[in-house]
Amino acid sequence: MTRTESVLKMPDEKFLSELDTIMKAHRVRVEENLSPLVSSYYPAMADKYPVEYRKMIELTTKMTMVGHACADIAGYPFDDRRLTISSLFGACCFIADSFIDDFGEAVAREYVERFELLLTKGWFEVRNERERLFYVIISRLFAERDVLDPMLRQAILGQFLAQKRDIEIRFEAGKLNAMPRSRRLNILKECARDRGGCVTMVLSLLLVPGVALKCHHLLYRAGAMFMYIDDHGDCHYDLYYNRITYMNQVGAPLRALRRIFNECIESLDRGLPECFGKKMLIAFLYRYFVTRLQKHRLERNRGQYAWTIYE
Amino acid sequence: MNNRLSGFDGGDIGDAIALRLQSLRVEGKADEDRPLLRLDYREQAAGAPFQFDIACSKLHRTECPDIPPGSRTALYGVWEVNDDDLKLACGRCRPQPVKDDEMKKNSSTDMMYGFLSILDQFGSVLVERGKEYRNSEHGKEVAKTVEGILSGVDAAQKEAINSTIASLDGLLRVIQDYNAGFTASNGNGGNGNGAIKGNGGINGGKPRNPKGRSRSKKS
Repeated sequence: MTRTESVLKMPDEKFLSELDTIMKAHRVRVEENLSPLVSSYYPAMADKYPVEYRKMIELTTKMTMVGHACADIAGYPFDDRRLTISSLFGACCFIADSFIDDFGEAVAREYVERFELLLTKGWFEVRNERERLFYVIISRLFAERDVLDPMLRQAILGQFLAQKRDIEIRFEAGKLNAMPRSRRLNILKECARDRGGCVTMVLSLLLVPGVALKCHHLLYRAGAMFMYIDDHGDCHYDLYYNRITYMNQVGAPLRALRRIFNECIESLDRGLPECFGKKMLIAFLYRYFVTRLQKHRLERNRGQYAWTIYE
Repeated sequence: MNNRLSGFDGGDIGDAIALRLQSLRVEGKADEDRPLLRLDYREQAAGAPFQFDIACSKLHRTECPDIPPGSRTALYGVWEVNDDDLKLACGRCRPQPVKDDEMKKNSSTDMMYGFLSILDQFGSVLVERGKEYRNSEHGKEVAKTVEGILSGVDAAQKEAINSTIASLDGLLRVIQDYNAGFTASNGNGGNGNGAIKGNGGINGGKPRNPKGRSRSKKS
Protein backbone atom coordinates (compact mmCIF):
# COMPACT_ATOMS: atom_id res chain seq x y z
CA MET A 1 0.00 0.00 0.00
CA THR A 2 1.35 3.45 -0.88
CA ARG A 3 1.73 6.39 1.46
CA THR A 4 -1.27 8.08 -0.20
CA GLU A 5 -3.57 5.20 0.61
CA SER A 6 -2.26 4.73 4.13
CA VAL A 7 -3.11 8.25 5.29
CA LEU A 8 -6.79 7.79 4.49
CA LYS A 9 -9.29 6.57 7.03
CA MET A 10 -9.86 3.06 5.82
CA PRO A 11 -13.26 1.41 6.25
CA ASP A 12 -13.02 -1.88 8.12
CA GLU A 13 -12.31 -5.04 6.13
CA LYS A 14 -15.54 -6.68 7.22
CA PHE A 15 -17.61 -3.87 5.76
CA LEU A 16 -15.57 -3.79 2.55
CA SER A 17 -16.24 -7.50 2.20
CA GLU A 18 -19.96 -6.86 2.74
CA LEU A 19 -19.75 -4.17 0.07
CA ASP A 20 -18.25 -6.67 -2.38
CA THR A 21 -21.09 -9.09 -1.66
CA ILE A 22 -23.69 -6.39 -2.34
CA MET A 23 -21.89 -5.39 -5.52
CA LYS A 24 -21.84 -8.97 -6.80
CA ALA A 25 -25.58 -9.28 -6.18
CA HIS A 26 -26.25 -5.97 -7.93
CA ARG A 27 -24.13 -7.01 -10.91
CA VAL A 28 -26.34 -10.06 -11.43
CA ARG A 29 -29.51 -7.97 -11.20
CA VAL A 30 -28.13 -5.29 -13.52
CA GLU A 31 -27.42 -7.91 -16.15
CA GLU A 32 -30.91 -9.36 -15.71
CA ASN A 33 -32.32 -5.88 -16.34
CA LEU A 34 -30.14 -4.89 -19.28
CA SER A 35 -29.51 -8.14 -21.12
CA PRO A 36 -33.08 -8.46 -22.52
CA LEU A 37 -32.98 -4.86 -23.73
CA VAL A 38 -29.64 -5.37 -25.46
CA SER A 39 -30.88 -8.63 -27.02
CA SER A 40 -34.02 -6.95 -28.31
CA TYR A 41 -32.67 -3.63 -29.52
CA TYR A 42 -28.92 -3.90 -30.07
CA PRO A 43 -27.91 -7.59 -30.09
CA ALA A 44 -24.57 -6.78 -31.77
CA MET A 45 -23.40 -5.13 -28.58
CA ALA A 46 -23.31 -8.41 -26.68
CA ASP A 47 -22.33 -10.55 -29.70
CA LYS A 48 -19.70 -8.44 -31.44
CA TYR A 49 -18.50 -6.06 -28.74
CA PRO A 50 -18.50 -8.15 -25.55
CA VAL A 51 -15.84 -5.96 -23.91
CA GLU A 52 -18.01 -2.91 -24.36
CA TYR A 53 -21.02 -4.82 -23.07
CA ARG A 54 -19.09 -5.89 -19.95
CA LYS A 55 -17.95 -2.33 -19.39
CA MET A 56 -21.56 -1.17 -19.55
CA ILE A 57 -22.54 -3.78 -16.96
CA GLU A 58 -19.66 -2.70 -14.70
CA LEU A 59 -20.42 1.02 -14.94
CA THR A 60 -24.08 0.32 -14.32
CA THR A 61 -23.26 -1.87 -11.33
CA LYS A 62 -21.34 1.05 -9.86
CA MET A 63 -24.33 3.27 -10.50
CA THR A 64 -26.53 0.85 -8.57
CA MET A 65 -24.09 0.95 -5.64
CA VAL A 66 -24.28 4.74 -5.55
CA GLY A 67 -28.05 4.59 -6.05
CA HIS A 68 -28.38 2.09 -3.21
CA ALA A 69 -26.49 4.43 -0.89
CA CYS A 70 -28.49 7.49 -2.02
CA ALA A 71 -31.85 5.78 -1.48
CA ASP A 72 -30.84 4.60 1.98
CA ILE A 73 -29.53 8.05 2.94
CA ALA A 74 -32.88 9.53 1.89
CA GLY A 75 -34.64 6.97 4.08
CA TYR A 76 -36.02 4.64 1.40
CA PRO A 77 -35.28 0.99 0.64
CA PHE A 78 -33.32 0.13 -2.48
CA ASP A 79 -36.07 -2.10 -3.83
CA ASP A 80 -36.51 -3.74 -7.24
CA ARG A 81 -37.89 -0.62 -8.82
CA ARG A 82 -35.00 1.53 -7.65
CA LEU A 83 -32.56 -1.10 -8.87
CA THR A 84 -34.25 -1.03 -12.28
CA ILE A 85 -34.11 2.77 -12.37
CA SER A 86 -30.41 2.72 -11.45
CA SER A 87 -29.75 0.09 -14.13
CA LEU A 88 -31.50 2.13 -16.80
CA PHE A 89 -29.74 5.31 -15.74
CA GLY A 90 -26.30 3.65 -15.72
CA ALA A 91 -26.82 2.20 -19.19
CA CYS A 92 -28.19 5.52 -20.44
CA CYS A 93 -25.07 7.37 -19.22
CA PHE A 94 -22.76 4.72 -20.67
CA ILE A 95 -24.29 4.79 -24.14
CA ALA A 96 -24.60 8.60 -24.19
CA ASP A 97 -20.89 8.82 -23.27
CA SER A 98 -20.02 6.41 -26.07
CA PHE A 99 -21.74 8.69 -28.62
CA ILE A 100 -19.69 11.61 -27.37
CA ASP A 101 -16.35 9.88 -26.80
CA ASP A 102 -15.91 7.26 -29.46
CA PHE A 103 -16.58 8.62 -32.93
CA GLY A 104 -14.53 11.79 -33.25
CA GLU A 105 -15.19 15.50 -33.03
CA ALA A 106 -17.79 15.96 -35.77
CA VAL A 107 -19.96 13.13 -34.50
CA ALA A 108 -19.60 14.29 -30.88
CA ARG A 109 -20.73 17.79 -31.81
CA GLU A 110 -23.65 16.44 -33.80
CA TYR A 111 -24.73 14.30 -30.84
CA VAL A 112 -24.58 17.30 -28.54
CA GLU A 113 -26.99 19.09 -30.91
CA ARG A 114 -29.26 16.05 -31.05
CA PHE A 115 -29.28 15.65 -27.26
CA GLU A 116 -30.18 19.33 -26.97
CA LEU A 117 -33.10 18.77 -29.33
CA LEU A 118 -34.14 15.75 -27.26
CA LEU A 119 -34.15 17.80 -24.05
CA THR A 120 -35.70 20.94 -25.46
CA LYS A 121 -38.29 19.34 -27.75
CA GLY A 122 -38.34 15.63 -27.04
CA TRP A 123 -37.37 14.65 -30.58
CA PHE A 124 -34.63 12.13 -31.29
CA GLU A 125 -34.22 10.57 -34.70
CA VAL A 126 -33.29 6.92 -34.23
CA ARG A 127 -30.79 6.03 -36.97
CA ASN A 128 -29.25 2.74 -35.91
CA GLU A 129 -29.46 -0.02 -33.32
CA ARG A 130 -27.20 1.68 -30.80
CA GLU A 131 -29.41 4.74 -30.91
CA ARG A 132 -32.51 2.56 -30.69
CA LEU A 133 -31.24 0.95 -27.50
CA PHE A 134 -30.36 4.37 -26.09
CA TYR A 135 -33.76 5.82 -26.88
CA VAL A 136 -35.66 2.83 -25.49
CA ILE A 137 -33.64 3.03 -22.27
CA ILE A 138 -34.21 6.76 -21.92
CA SER A 139 -37.93 6.47 -22.60
CA ARG A 140 -38.27 3.66 -20.03
CA LEU A 141 -36.32 5.74 -17.55
CA PHE A 142 -38.49 8.80 -18.12
CA ALA A 143 -41.59 6.67 -17.72
CA GLU A 144 -40.49 5.61 -14.23
CA ARG A 145 -40.77 9.07 -12.70
CA ASP A 146 -42.35 12.46 -13.17
CA VAL A 147 -39.53 13.87 -15.27
CA LEU A 148 -41.30 17.22 -15.33
CA ASP A 149 -40.56 17.71 -11.63
CA PRO A 150 -38.74 21.08 -11.60
CA MET A 151 -35.69 19.85 -9.68
CA LEU A 152 -35.28 16.69 -11.75
CA ARG A 153 -35.59 18.44 -15.09
CA GLN A 154 -33.07 21.06 -14.00
CA ALA A 155 -30.70 18.28 -12.96
CA ILE A 156 -31.11 16.44 -16.27
CA LEU A 157 -30.41 19.61 -18.21
CA GLY A 158 -27.51 20.40 -15.88
CA GLN A 159 -25.98 17.03 -16.68
CA PHE A 160 -26.30 17.73 -20.39
CA LEU A 161 -24.81 21.24 -20.08
CA ALA A 162 -21.86 19.89 -18.10
CA GLN A 163 -21.28 17.33 -20.85
CA LYS A 164 -21.57 20.02 -23.51
CA ARG A 165 -19.07 22.21 -21.69
CA ASP A 166 -16.66 19.28 -21.48
CA ILE A 167 -16.92 18.76 -25.24
CA GLU A 168 -16.27 22.45 -25.90
CA ILE A 169 -13.19 22.34 -23.69
CA ARG A 170 -12.01 19.18 -25.42
CA PHE A 171 -12.32 20.52 -28.94
CA GLU A 172 -11.45 24.14 -28.30
CA ALA A 173 -8.41 23.62 -26.11
CA GLY A 174 -6.72 26.64 -27.72
CA LYS A 175 -9.13 29.04 -26.00
CA LEU A 176 -8.48 27.44 -22.67
CA ASN A 177 -4.73 27.37 -23.14
CA ALA A 178 -4.74 31.11 -23.77
CA MET A 179 -6.02 31.70 -20.23
CA PRO A 180 -3.85 32.08 -17.13
CA ARG A 181 -3.05 28.72 -15.58
CA SER A 182 -5.06 29.26 -12.38
CA ARG A 183 -8.15 30.29 -14.36
CA ARG A 184 -7.72 27.29 -16.64
CA LEU A 185 -7.49 24.91 -13.70
CA ASN A 186 -10.55 26.45 -12.08
CA ILE A 187 -12.60 25.91 -15.23
CA LEU A 188 -11.44 22.31 -15.55
CA LYS A 189 -12.14 21.64 -11.89
CA GLU A 190 -15.64 23.12 -12.09
CA CYS A 191 -16.34 21.17 -15.24
CA ALA A 192 -15.39 17.86 -13.57
CA ARG A 193 -17.37 18.84 -10.47
CA ASP A 194 -20.50 19.49 -12.53
CA ARG A 195 -20.10 16.40 -14.72
CA GLY A 196 -19.88 14.12 -11.70
CA GLY A 197 -22.18 16.07 -9.40
CA CYS A 198 -25.05 16.18 -11.88
CA VAL A 199 -24.90 12.42 -12.37
CA THR A 200 -25.57 11.70 -8.68
CA MET A 201 -28.08 14.54 -8.57
CA VAL A 202 -30.14 13.04 -11.41
CA LEU A 203 -29.76 9.53 -10.04
CA SER A 204 -30.85 10.48 -6.53
CA LEU A 205 -33.83 12.46 -7.83
CA LEU A 206 -34.90 9.56 -10.02
CA LEU A 207 -34.67 7.25 -7.03
CA VAL A 208 -36.16 9.51 -4.38
CA PRO A 209 -37.94 12.63 -5.58
CA GLY A 210 -37.96 15.37 -2.97
CA VAL A 211 -34.54 14.83 -1.39
CA ALA A 212 -33.64 17.69 1.00
CA LEU A 213 -31.44 20.49 -0.37
CA LYS A 214 -28.68 19.82 2.14
CA CYS A 215 -28.55 16.20 1.11
CA HIS A 216 -28.38 17.21 -2.55
CA HIS A 217 -25.23 19.18 -1.92
CA LEU A 218 -23.50 16.25 -0.25
CA LEU A 219 -24.52 13.78 -2.93
CA TYR A 220 -23.41 16.27 -5.58
CA ARG A 221 -20.08 16.49 -3.84
CA ALA A 222 -19.76 12.70 -3.75
CA GLY A 223 -20.56 12.59 -7.47
CA ALA A 224 -17.88 15.18 -8.19
CA MET A 225 -15.44 13.06 -6.18
CA PHE A 226 -16.20 10.03 -8.33
CA MET A 227 -15.40 12.12 -11.39
CA TYR A 228 -12.05 13.36 -10.06
CA ILE A 229 -11.10 9.79 -9.19
CA ASP A 230 -12.29 8.57 -12.59
CA ASP A 231 -10.27 11.23 -14.39
CA HIS A 232 -7.16 10.30 -12.43
CA GLY A 233 -7.66 6.63 -13.32
CA ASP A 234 -8.08 7.59 -16.99
CA CYS A 235 -5.24 10.10 -16.95
CA HIS A 236 -2.96 8.30 -19.44
CA TYR A 237 -5.78 7.38 -21.79
CA ASP A 238 -7.07 10.96 -21.77
CA LEU A 239 -3.63 12.41 -22.43
CA TYR A 240 -3.09 9.98 -25.29
CA TYR A 241 -6.25 11.36 -26.93
CA ASN A 242 -5.38 14.99 -26.07
CA ARG A 243 -8.28 15.26 -23.71
CA ILE A 244 -7.46 17.64 -20.91
CA THR A 245 -8.99 17.32 -17.48
CA TYR A 246 -8.29 18.91 -14.13
CA MET A 247 -6.61 15.72 -12.95
CA ASN A 248 -4.16 15.54 -15.85
CA GLN A 249 -3.32 19.25 -15.75
CA VAL A 250 -2.94 19.98 -12.04
CA GLY A 251 0.58 19.80 -10.60
CA ALA A 252 1.11 16.90 -8.16
CA PRO A 253 -2.20 15.22 -9.08
CA LEU A 254 -1.99 12.55 -6.43
CA ARG A 255 -1.59 15.11 -3.68
CA ALA A 256 -4.45 17.18 -5.12
CA LEU A 257 -6.70 14.14 -5.36
CA ARG A 258 -5.89 13.05 -1.82
CA ARG A 259 -6.72 16.53 -0.50
CA ILE A 260 -10.06 16.69 -2.35
CA PHE A 261 -10.84 13.15 -1.25
CA ASN A 262 -10.16 13.81 2.42
CA GLU A 263 -12.22 17.02 2.36
CA CYS A 264 -15.08 15.21 0.66
CA ILE A 265 -15.09 12.25 3.05
CA GLU A 266 -14.94 14.58 6.04
CA SER A 267 -17.85 16.57 4.69
CA LEU A 268 -19.94 13.45 4.01
CA ASP A 269 -19.10 12.05 7.43
CA ARG A 270 -20.11 15.28 9.13
CA GLY A 271 -23.18 16.14 7.05
CA LEU A 272 -24.96 12.89 6.17
CA PRO A 273 -27.35 11.27 8.63
CA GLU A 274 -26.06 8.15 10.38
CA CYS A 275 -27.30 5.20 8.33
CA PHE A 276 -26.16 2.23 6.30
CA GLY A 277 -26.23 4.32 3.11
CA LYS A 278 -23.73 6.80 4.50
CA LYS A 279 -21.35 4.02 5.48
CA MET A 280 -21.85 2.41 2.10
CA LEU A 281 -21.20 5.61 0.14
CA ILE A 282 -18.03 6.43 2.04
CA ALA A 283 -16.71 2.85 1.82
CA PHE A 284 -17.52 2.66 -1.89
CA LEU A 285 -15.75 5.97 -2.53
CA TYR A 286 -12.75 4.62 -0.66
CA ARG A 287 -12.80 1.41 -2.68
CA TYR A 288 -13.10 3.41 -5.89
CA PHE A 289 -10.23 5.67 -4.89
CA VAL A 290 -7.89 2.75 -4.18
CA THR A 291 -8.77 0.77 -7.31
CA ARG A 292 -8.38 3.85 -9.56
CA LEU A 293 -4.99 4.66 -8.10
CA GLN A 294 -4.03 1.12 -9.08
CA LYS A 295 -5.55 1.66 -12.51
CA HIS A 296 -3.54 4.86 -12.93
CA ARG A 297 -0.32 2.96 -12.19
CA LEU A 298 -1.19 -0.04 -14.35
CA GLU A 299 -2.26 2.03 -17.36
CA ARG A 300 0.76 4.29 -17.35
CA ASN A 301 2.23 2.90 -20.57
CA ARG A 302 -0.83 1.53 -22.30
CA GLY A 303 -2.08 4.67 -24.10
CA GLN A 304 -4.78 3.83 -26.61
CA TYR A 305 -4.95 0.26 -25.30
CA ALA A 306 -6.02 1.44 -21.86
CA TRP A 307 -9.44 -0.08 -22.20
CA THR A 308 -9.40 -2.76 -19.58
CA ILE A 309 -12.52 -3.57 -17.60
CA TYR A 310 -12.20 -2.52 -13.98
CA GLU A 311 -14.67 -3.39 -11.25
CA MET B 1 -49.86 -6.11 -11.18
CA ASN B 2 -49.22 -8.33 -14.16
CA ASN B 3 -48.39 -6.09 -17.09
CA ARG B 4 -48.60 -8.84 -19.68
CA LEU B 5 -51.55 -8.76 -22.01
CA SER B 6 -52.04 -11.64 -24.44
CA GLY B 7 -48.31 -12.14 -24.89
CA PHE B 8 -47.48 -8.41 -24.96
CA ASP B 9 -45.03 -7.07 -22.46
CA GLY B 10 -45.99 -3.66 -21.06
CA GLY B 11 -42.42 -2.44 -21.54
CA ASP B 12 -42.27 -3.66 -25.13
CA ILE B 13 -45.50 -1.88 -25.99
CA GLY B 14 -44.19 1.29 -24.35
CA ASP B 15 -40.95 0.97 -26.33
CA ALA B 16 -42.86 0.51 -29.56
CA ILE B 17 -44.99 3.59 -28.87
CA ALA B 18 -41.94 5.68 -27.95
CA LEU B 19 -40.09 4.63 -31.10
CA ARG B 20 -43.18 5.17 -33.25
CA LEU B 21 -43.64 8.69 -31.92
CA GLN B 22 -40.12 9.53 -33.02
CA SER B 23 -40.64 8.06 -36.45
CA LEU B 24 -43.74 10.23 -36.91
CA ARG B 25 -41.50 13.26 -36.98
CA VAL B 26 -39.16 11.67 -39.50
CA GLU B 27 -42.13 10.78 -41.68
CA GLY B 28 -43.37 14.36 -41.49
CA LYS B 29 -46.51 13.37 -39.60
CA ALA B 30 -45.64 15.42 -36.55
CA ASP B 31 -44.50 19.00 -36.46
CA GLU B 32 -40.87 19.01 -35.36
CA ASP B 33 -41.09 22.64 -34.32
CA ARG B 34 -43.59 21.73 -31.64
CA PRO B 35 -42.17 19.98 -28.60
CA LEU B 36 -43.10 16.41 -27.80
CA LEU B 37 -41.62 16.80 -24.32
CA ARG B 38 -39.70 19.81 -23.14
CA LEU B 39 -37.43 19.14 -20.19
CA ASP B 40 -35.45 22.34 -20.52
CA TYR B 41 -36.41 24.49 -17.55
CA ARG B 42 -33.75 27.20 -17.76
CA GLU B 43 -36.16 30.05 -18.42
CA GLN B 44 -38.50 29.14 -15.55
CA ALA B 45 -35.59 28.37 -13.20
CA ALA B 46 -34.08 31.80 -13.83
CA GLY B 47 -37.40 33.31 -12.73
CA ALA B 48 -37.64 31.28 -9.51
CA PRO B 49 -37.54 33.33 -6.27
CA PHE B 50 -34.50 31.41 -4.96
CA GLN B 51 -31.40 29.77 -6.34
CA PHE B 52 -29.73 26.90 -4.57
CA ASP B 53 -25.98 26.83 -5.09
CA ILE B 54 -25.50 23.10 -4.94
CA ALA B 55 -21.71 23.33 -5.07
CA CYS B 56 -21.48 25.50 -1.94
CA SER B 57 -24.75 24.42 -0.29
CA LYS B 58 -26.06 27.96 -0.05
CA LEU B 59 -29.60 29.17 -0.68
CA HIS B 60 -29.79 32.64 -2.27
CA ARG B 61 -32.45 35.00 -3.45
CA THR B 62 -32.26 34.94 -7.22
CA GLU B 63 -30.92 38.48 -7.44
CA CYS B 64 -28.28 37.99 -4.71
CA PRO B 65 -24.93 39.55 -5.66
CA ASP B 66 -23.05 37.08 -3.45
CA ILE B 67 -23.56 34.09 -5.73
CA PRO B 68 -19.98 33.09 -6.65
CA PRO B 69 -19.14 33.11 -10.38
CA GLY B 70 -17.85 29.54 -10.07
CA SER B 71 -21.29 28.40 -8.96
CA ARG B 72 -23.18 29.78 -11.98
CA THR B 73 -23.26 26.32 -13.55
CA ALA B 74 -24.42 24.72 -10.30
CA LEU B 75 -27.53 26.78 -9.55
CA TYR B 76 -30.99 25.26 -9.17
CA GLY B 77 -34.14 27.35 -9.20
CA VAL B 78 -36.19 26.77 -6.03
CA TRP B 79 -39.79 27.90 -5.52
CA GLU B 80 -40.59 26.71 -2.03
CA VAL B 81 -38.33 26.53 1.00
CA ASN B 82 -38.83 24.98 4.44
CA ASP B 83 -37.16 25.62 7.79
CA ASP B 84 -34.39 23.11 7.08
CA ASP B 85 -33.62 24.78 3.75
CA LEU B 86 -33.41 28.15 5.49
CA LYS B 87 -30.52 26.83 7.58
CA LEU B 88 -28.57 27.02 4.31
CA ALA B 89 -29.62 30.63 3.67
CA CYS B 90 -27.11 33.17 2.42
CA GLY B 91 -26.26 35.64 5.19
CA ARG B 92 -26.36 38.58 2.84
CA CYS B 93 -29.63 38.22 0.92
CA ARG B 94 -31.44 36.28 3.71
CA PRO B 95 -34.10 34.43 1.69
CA GLN B 96 -37.50 34.06 3.33
CA PRO B 97 -40.42 31.82 2.34
CA VAL B 98 -42.80 33.43 -0.12
CA LYS B 99 -46.44 32.59 -0.61
CA ASP B 100 -46.52 31.09 -4.05
CA ASP B 101 -49.57 28.98 -4.73
CA GLU B 102 -49.54 29.89 -8.38
CA MET B 103 -47.91 26.67 -9.61
CA LYS B 104 -50.12 24.46 -7.46
CA LYS B 105 -53.27 26.24 -8.57
CA ASN B 106 -52.42 25.89 -12.21
CA SER B 107 -51.14 22.33 -12.25
CA SER B 108 -54.48 20.64 -13.06
CA THR B 109 -55.23 23.22 -15.75
CA ASP B 110 -51.74 22.74 -17.16
CA MET B 111 -52.28 19.00 -17.26
CA MET B 112 -55.55 19.50 -19.11
CA TYR B 113 -53.86 21.75 -21.65
CA GLY B 114 -51.01 19.24 -21.93
CA PHE B 115 -53.45 16.46 -22.72
CA LEU B 116 -55.26 18.65 -25.23
CA SER B 117 -51.99 19.57 -26.91
CA ILE B 118 -51.11 15.89 -27.37
CA LEU B 119 -54.51 15.16 -28.87
CA ASP B 120 -54.13 18.21 -31.04
CA GLN B 121 -50.66 17.26 -32.17
CA PHE B 122 -51.27 13.58 -32.77
CA GLY B 123 -55.07 13.43 -33.05
CA SER B 124 -55.35 12.39 -36.68
CA VAL B 125 -52.48 9.94 -36.33
CA LEU B 126 -54.15 8.35 -33.31
CA VAL B 127 -57.44 7.95 -35.17
CA GLU B 128 -55.67 6.50 -38.21
CA ARG B 129 -53.64 4.11 -36.06
CA GLY B 130 -56.71 3.16 -34.05
CA LYS B 131 -58.59 2.12 -37.20
CA GLU B 132 -55.66 0.05 -38.45
CA TYR B 133 -55.06 -1.52 -35.07
CA ARG B 134 -58.69 -2.45 -34.49
CA ASN B 135 -58.65 -4.56 -37.67
CA SER B 136 -55.24 -6.17 -37.11
CA GLU B 137 -54.73 -9.62 -35.59
CA HIS B 138 -53.05 -8.09 -32.53
CA GLY B 139 -55.86 -5.59 -32.17
CA LYS B 140 -58.47 -8.33 -32.25
CA GLU B 141 -56.54 -10.32 -29.62
CA VAL B 142 -56.28 -7.31 -27.37
CA ALA B 143 -60.00 -6.58 -27.87
CA LYS B 144 -60.84 -10.10 -26.68
CA THR B 145 -58.61 -9.69 -23.63
CA VAL B 146 -60.08 -6.30 -22.83
CA GLU B 147 -63.59 -7.74 -23.13
CA GLY B 148 -62.50 -10.51 -20.77
CA ILE B 149 -61.21 -7.99 -18.27
CA LEU B 150 -64.35 -5.88 -18.55
CA SER B 151 -66.57 -8.91 -17.89
CA GLY B 152 -64.69 -9.41 -14.61
CA VAL B 153 -65.05 -5.91 -13.20
CA ASP B 154 -67.84 -4.84 -10.89
CA ALA B 155 -70.50 -2.24 -11.64
CA ALA B 156 -68.68 0.64 -9.95
CA GLN B 157 -65.47 -0.09 -11.88
CA LYS B 158 -67.42 -0.33 -15.13
CA GLU B 159 -69.01 3.01 -14.43
CA ALA B 160 -65.60 4.54 -13.79
CA ILE B 161 -64.25 3.15 -17.08
CA ASN B 162 -67.32 4.36 -18.97
CA SER B 163 -67.04 7.83 -17.54
CA THR B 164 -63.32 7.95 -18.45
CA ILE B 165 -64.10 6.90 -22.01
CA ALA B 166 -66.91 9.46 -22.15
CA SER B 167 -64.52 12.16 -20.95
CA LEU B 168 -61.97 11.23 -23.61
CA ASP B 169 -64.69 11.24 -26.22
CA GLY B 170 -65.81 14.65 -25.01
CA LEU B 171 -62.29 15.97 -25.20
CA LEU B 172 -61.91 14.66 -28.74
CA ARG B 173 -65.10 16.46 -29.72
CA VAL B 174 -63.79 19.66 -28.14
CA ILE B 175 -60.60 19.32 -30.17
CA GLN B 176 -62.51 18.65 -33.35
CA ASP B 177 -64.79 21.64 -32.76
CA TYR B 178 -61.79 23.77 -31.94
CA ASN B 179 -59.98 22.69 -35.10
CA ALA B 180 -63.07 23.23 -37.23
CA GLY B 181 -63.48 26.73 -35.83
CA PHE B 182 -59.80 27.48 -36.18
CA THR B 183 -59.47 26.30 -39.77
CA ALA B 184 -62.70 28.11 -40.75
CA SER B 185 -61.53 31.36 -39.21
CA ASN B 186 -58.21 31.02 -41.04
CA GLY B 187 -59.80 30.10 -44.33
CA ASN B 188 -57.84 26.86 -44.42
CA GLY B 189 -59.57 23.76 -45.68
CA GLY B 190 -57.03 21.36 -44.17
CA ASN B 191 -57.55 18.11 -42.35
CA GLY B 192 -58.46 19.65 -39.04
CA ASN B 193 -55.11 19.19 -37.44
CA GLY B 194 -52.87 22.19 -37.65
CA ALA B 195 -49.93 20.27 -36.20
CA ILE B 196 -49.49 17.79 -39.00
CA LYS B 197 -47.15 18.73 -41.75
CA GLY B 198 -46.96 17.32 -45.22
CA ASN B 199 -43.21 17.35 -45.68
CA GLY B 200 -41.08 14.24 -45.86
CA GLY B 201 -39.06 14.68 -42.67
CA ILE B 202 -35.31 14.96 -42.45
CA ASN B 203 -34.15 11.79 -44.15
CA GLY B 204 -37.22 9.63 -44.40
CA GLY B 205 -36.21 7.66 -41.30
CA LYS B 206 -33.54 5.68 -43.09
CA PRO B 207 -30.61 4.92 -40.87
CA ARG B 208 -27.60 6.94 -41.87
CA ASN B 209 -24.15 7.02 -40.46
CA PRO B 210 -24.23 3.54 -38.90
CA LYS B 211 -21.54 3.40 -36.29
CA GLY B 212 -18.55 1.14 -36.03
CA ARG B 213 -17.13 -0.21 -32.84
CA SER B 214 -17.51 1.97 -29.79
CA ARG B 215 -14.70 2.48 -27.34
CA SER B 216 -16.38 4.12 -24.41
CA LYS B 217 -13.67 4.10 -21.80
CA LYS B 218 -15.21 4.55 -18.39
CA SER B 219 -15.42 1.49 -16.20
